[in-house]
Amino acid sequence: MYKRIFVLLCWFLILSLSAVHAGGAGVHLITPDSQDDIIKNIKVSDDSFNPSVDEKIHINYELVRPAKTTLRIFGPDHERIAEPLKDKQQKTGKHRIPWDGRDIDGDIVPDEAYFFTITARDEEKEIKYVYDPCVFSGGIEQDLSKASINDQAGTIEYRLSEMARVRIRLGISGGPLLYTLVDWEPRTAGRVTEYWDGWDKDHLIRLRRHPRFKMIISRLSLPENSLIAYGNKQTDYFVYSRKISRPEKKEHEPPPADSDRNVSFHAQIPRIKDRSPEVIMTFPQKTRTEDGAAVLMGKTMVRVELGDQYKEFFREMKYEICFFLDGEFYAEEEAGYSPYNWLWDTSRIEPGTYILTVNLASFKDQIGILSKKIKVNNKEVK
Amino acid sequence: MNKFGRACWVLFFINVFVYPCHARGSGFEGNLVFLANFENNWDVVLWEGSDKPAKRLTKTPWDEKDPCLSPSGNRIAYTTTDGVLHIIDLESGKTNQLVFEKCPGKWESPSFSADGKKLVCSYFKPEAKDRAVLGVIDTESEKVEFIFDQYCPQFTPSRSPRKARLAYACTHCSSSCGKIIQEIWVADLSSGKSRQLAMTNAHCQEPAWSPDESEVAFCADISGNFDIWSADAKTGELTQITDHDAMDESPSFSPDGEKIAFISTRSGRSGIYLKALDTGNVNELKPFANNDIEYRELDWK
Repeated sequence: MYKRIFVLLCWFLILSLSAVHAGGAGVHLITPDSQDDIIKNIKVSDDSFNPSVDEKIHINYELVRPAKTTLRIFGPDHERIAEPLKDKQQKTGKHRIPWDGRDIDGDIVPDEAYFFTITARDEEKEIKYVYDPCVFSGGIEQDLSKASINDQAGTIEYRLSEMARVRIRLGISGGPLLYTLVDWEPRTAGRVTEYWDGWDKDHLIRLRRHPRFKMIISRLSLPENSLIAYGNKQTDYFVYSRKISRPEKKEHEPPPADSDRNVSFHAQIPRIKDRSPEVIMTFPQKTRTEDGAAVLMGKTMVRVELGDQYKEFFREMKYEICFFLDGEFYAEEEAGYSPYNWLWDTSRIEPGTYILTVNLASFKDQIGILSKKIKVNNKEVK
Repeated sequence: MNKFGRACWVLFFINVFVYPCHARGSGFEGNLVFLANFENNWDVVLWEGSDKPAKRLTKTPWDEKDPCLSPSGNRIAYTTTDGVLHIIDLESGKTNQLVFEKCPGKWESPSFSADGKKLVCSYFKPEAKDRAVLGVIDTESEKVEFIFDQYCPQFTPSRSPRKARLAYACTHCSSSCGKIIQEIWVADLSSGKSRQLAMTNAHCQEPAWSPDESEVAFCADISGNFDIWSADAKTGELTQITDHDAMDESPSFSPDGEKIAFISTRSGRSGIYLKALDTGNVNELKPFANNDIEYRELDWK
């Protein structure tokens, strides 16, 4: 048995060391300005589709010369999701490749934005033509200046000139962030409607009525010809991305930080890390709860922790922890960590009921939010 | 059992018994003070040489922070999350809490002067948010003096072990730059002059002097994520000490200047590591047998 394990380990080592990278032929990147491309008129039949009801999307293109073609679909974290075409000899002319929204394992992909690459090997010229939209498009961040809130309908409306990821942050100007309503989710071009009831994330503050209410809508452009899948009510992308089968060698990388296109750092951080983390706030020394508020007195403790699924990512990041009382800045830990046990002397504030908000803000612009109702009662302190 | 079986057992023995003993004992001379998370909060631990057991010095339900050894090794200064400064006298075992009626804000990151009589700290006025200034505290008279008239917020000061010099981090830019730019500055306390040590265009923190004062180690995200770097104290020339995808922070030189201890998340949790500067060898220190305990913020004297 040991001999077999030993031989297997040796083979694994030999295979790892002798992995041969594809090469030989010259590489020509296809961009909107490039000349003499073998692949032309690359378009998708639609920008979004619902694979859960058997909808398919078609990728259309035209070959100027015959070529061995590979078409790969990638997920938001540049992981290969599907390969509808692999080294297939194709003739000159128009081609239409369907994708049913299923991954390599045959599972329907979660709601997200996907992109594809096409590689066409021209055997005559010994040139590999590569269409990779991430090279020349996507990743540009911009704040939207126009949006309208309809309080009666409970909607926020805005327009996108192209498909993009969108983040909507709602909070108090000069105070806390109280809700990440949309967290870099993909949206198609045109008029977009989001639903919001006017409250903060924890339904404690009528945020829309606050005199210093502030909303920031940011968009991050998606690569050209992105495909937005929707309708999958079974699988969340963040759960899915942990279990997906991945090839050992990474097949696609995000655009570099030093790109001359001014690509946002949000386009380089994996989706699984670039989101508002779950924050847990507890009061280990609270005496009791009254009307849903923890009763605090004297010197007491506030414990702030990251949710389990976020600890792994935030361990590699620097972040600060800010506390706000009724929407006003109160205290801050510049060099945050988890668990953080804040020793708070409540005798410095008037007795009463307050909303205590914590913002756990990474220096890479991910902010976790939690608000809790507290009651300060120092009359009982001896 | 054939020869492959025997080879596997030998490897198993090395991995399970020999290596951990080596890692625990291969370590260090002098005193290390750091924080450990025992029961969902952080306490101060002193480790007086790798051949001795590490000692837990505090046992509170809240967090202790920023532990710092005095040059003679007989006192430890630290802060708590309410911003209060404390000094433990290791000989008597008593802890003195320093309260400054005229400076009611928050104190952080204490660092002893060469004679052990003064502490330099970051001071945050109440509701001053992150606008920290550096304050010098006389530990006997408990008088406070603010040393710089410098616009940028000043953090994580480190007194040099011999001369009256100070290294600290100064925030140049945050949201307006789209990223944090915090550089290391060095001040000569006798002349009152301060200068930027190096131009990194990055987020630098936690400077620590080498014993001969020729180098200042710090952590910075110059290469994209936080690694340990060192700058020549005269020229500012940078040397990368660690290069790992994980977060490396809180550097501290060994008393002989031949090693650097730092905190790293490279094992998937926050642990203490030593790097030998001549060989480049890195090994993890395990102050306690329990592998679930995480560690932060260390000082080595």
